[in-house]
Amino acid sequence: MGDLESDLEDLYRRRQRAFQVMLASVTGSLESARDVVQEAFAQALRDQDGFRGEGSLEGWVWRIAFRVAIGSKGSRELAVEDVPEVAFVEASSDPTLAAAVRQLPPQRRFAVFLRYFADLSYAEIGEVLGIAEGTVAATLSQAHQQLGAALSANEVMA
Amino acid sequence: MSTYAHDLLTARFAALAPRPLTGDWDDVLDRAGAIRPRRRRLARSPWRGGRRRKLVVALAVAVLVAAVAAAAYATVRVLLLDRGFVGLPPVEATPSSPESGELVLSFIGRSTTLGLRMTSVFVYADGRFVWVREGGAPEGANKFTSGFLEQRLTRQGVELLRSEVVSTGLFRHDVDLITGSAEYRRPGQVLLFRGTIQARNGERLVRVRWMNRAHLRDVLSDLPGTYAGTTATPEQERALERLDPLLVDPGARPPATAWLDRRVRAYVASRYAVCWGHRPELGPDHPTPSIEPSGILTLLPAKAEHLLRRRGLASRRGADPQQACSVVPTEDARAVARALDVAGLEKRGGGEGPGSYNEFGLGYRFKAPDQRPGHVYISFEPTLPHGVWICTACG
Repeated sequence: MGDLESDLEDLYRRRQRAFQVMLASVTGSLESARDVVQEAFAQALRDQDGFRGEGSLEGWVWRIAFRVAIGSKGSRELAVEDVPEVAFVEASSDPTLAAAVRQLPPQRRFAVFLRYFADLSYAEIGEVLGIAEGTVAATLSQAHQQLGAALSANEVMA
Repeated sequence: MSTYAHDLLTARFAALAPRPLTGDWDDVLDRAGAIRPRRRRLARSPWRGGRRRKLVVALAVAVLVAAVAAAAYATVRVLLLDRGFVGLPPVEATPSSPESGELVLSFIGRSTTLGLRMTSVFVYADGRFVWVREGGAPEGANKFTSGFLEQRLTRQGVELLRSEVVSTGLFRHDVDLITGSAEYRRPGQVLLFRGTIQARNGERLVRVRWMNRAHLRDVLSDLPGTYAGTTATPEQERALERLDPLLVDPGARPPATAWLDRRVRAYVASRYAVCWGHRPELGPDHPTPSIEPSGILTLLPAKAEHLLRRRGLASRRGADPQQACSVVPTEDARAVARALDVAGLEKRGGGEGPGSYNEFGLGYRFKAPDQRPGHVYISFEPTLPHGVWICTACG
């Protein structure tokens, strides 16, 4: 257990800022996101037996964090159908992109946020959502196409 | 989706990312409800045996005094980072103080003690002991680099270290040496590969450089005239071998009494050198850059160009003549980086944020215009208390 605790501490020191940024898009504020991050890592410390090593440690902590964020107490896994609603906290600095992202269905939007805010790989997004890596790729591809259509030709997707 | 579009999306999301708050691992431990030993703190604790209670009382008094002082200066927030970082510091981080310092000793080179890892150490008259090394360190930023770290010697400790270095007799005047007559990669052998030590001797900073003969032969043979040294005597080689661990291993020497604060913290610079240039693809004919640094500024986003022009150009001894740099306050460096992010330039380094990867430092690049070869790059390097900066990604 000592090793896992060290790994959790290392993960926290390396990634807690990314956790905050991502979770702020779920909770709506950085202050509450920071609280969620603290609580999620505390839960991970308390429930070290819950990490069975089947996926990455980071993926496991992300799932805990989202459960804390959306107040889900039941399932151990974050099911596809209860992906949290996500939105930009500071949308005013890029309203065009914010509006385009708002048009995405919840799961695509969530996958986009995991990719670009949490900086997760396809495999890690798959771990968080409990879906296959190929499904992640398809989801993101659809999201990119939809974003491309929503943004004007001389913007991102040109 | 193209890589270009992916990078632009990454940059636009980065621009929309809120600025994270400071983390606190101790708070996580408290929430976990565990009565856990604070391993790292205890490991560093100077308290031992029967004196502990008295020292704890003394510490409590010191904390009270510090709290009163903090209340008196409530507008000053102090955040000392307990591990290194690459790129720009967190907004809340407190810069190393004072902003400038007098250099007393420095070591830049591939340390024999550390398995030829690139290592730089800077010791200042005010006691600061600033260092960065290639590869992992317990308090380091990542597995590639420690990031710049800082400890504090007493003034007596600085003098102890300086006098020990100068007592080798190497620092009467500047000298360039050629060391070693055998292969430098022989297993188990202590080898003087290459490096530079500067030591204050009287009013002057005296420089001793050394380069391994085999390294000169193998690596620099196609760059004639880049290093002209005299063959080191056995005494000079032995002296350099003694100095290497003395300067690069702060955990070993100097003695504990020489330290004012041995805890390792991140060195947070007050200013950054933002440098730019054209780097053609490497090839057998060593193509020279074909875009003047002065012409590169106009290729940057207007905000970045304005901030860099406003501060003028800075120079550094030994710097690449095809590169230009501007030394700017950290806030301006942050604004330049934001402008480059928004413009969607390819980014490397810079910490933990979305779309970035920990390496040696923060840098951007974009393809050279007008079908010229290679890339234009922009790099960010922290300045040291004596006003210079080093290339952290250089070997």
